[in-house]
Amino acid sequence: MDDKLEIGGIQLNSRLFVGTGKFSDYHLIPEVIRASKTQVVTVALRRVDFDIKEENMLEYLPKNVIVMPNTSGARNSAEAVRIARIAREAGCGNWIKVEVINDQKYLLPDNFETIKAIEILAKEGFVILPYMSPDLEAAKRMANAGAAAIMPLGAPIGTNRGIRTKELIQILISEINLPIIVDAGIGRPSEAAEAMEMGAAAVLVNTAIATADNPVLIAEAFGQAVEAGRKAYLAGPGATRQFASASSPLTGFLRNG
Amino acid sequence: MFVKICGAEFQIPEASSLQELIESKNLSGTSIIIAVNDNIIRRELWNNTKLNPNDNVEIIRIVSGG
Repeated sequence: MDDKLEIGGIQLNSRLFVGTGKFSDYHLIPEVIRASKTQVVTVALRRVDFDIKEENMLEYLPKNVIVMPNTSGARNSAEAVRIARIAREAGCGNWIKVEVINDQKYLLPDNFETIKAIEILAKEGFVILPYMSPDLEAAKRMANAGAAAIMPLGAPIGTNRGIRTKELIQILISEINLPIIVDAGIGRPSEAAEAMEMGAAAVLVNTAIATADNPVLIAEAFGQAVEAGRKAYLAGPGATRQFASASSPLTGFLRNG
Repeated sequence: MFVKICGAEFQIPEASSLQELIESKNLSGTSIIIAVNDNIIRRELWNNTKLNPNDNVEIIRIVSGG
């Protein structure tokens, strides 16, 4: 079945994107990538701390995955644009997850600053995947500004609370003509499957994998769940009903009298 | 002369090169990215790039993130 996801001219087989944050050990990252079959991972850019000797995380990423930097740390569009330009010049390719956050309690993104960042970065040839708070008007403006996909949150980052914004995401899936990638909040493979059954193009999962007791095993489960959810969506599930409808014939019963 | 490195002021010898700066901080060059006044400086130019007073140097690395 040819059901590839096309973003920025790249055809992807996997509809699961994986974040590389929060792993207890960098050695888990390549195993998670292999088990989940993901083809896109996110990374961040940070200033070097002169007092800490840190491993180079990039060495743990296989050569054939797409590395998508995020603009985490950006508090406004100017900071997001600066990070994106540095990331590209540093050799990260031209995919960028625009993430502009001023709220330290819920880490909810600033849709307004995100739109401004997209307007600038789209003119510079970036493939932009904005992390956003699900809102139809904001999504329309992001699409018009040149985003390659829209990434609405299911629940706040790191909460593993599932798809709390379900109805708003369903509206985006219906009305926006771009891949809708549910990013943040997915806590279990069943929730990833739920997103895919709704018609999401993909999901991005980080905390739920990195903080599981067995990240590699749950990564495999997430990969399978995303495939299952996508097949279910394409298969056109049966309608729900209020009253029962028997599954076995209603005649020829083996009854006395 | 004073320069800004990763947001903090440092005093370094006049006409220091980027390579000298990295070595003075005990950094390995293989995994870091350097921008001077928002321009990324390619690795092969670090030896020949001299810093000027009040330059804004960012030494950046790619780290894990969601």
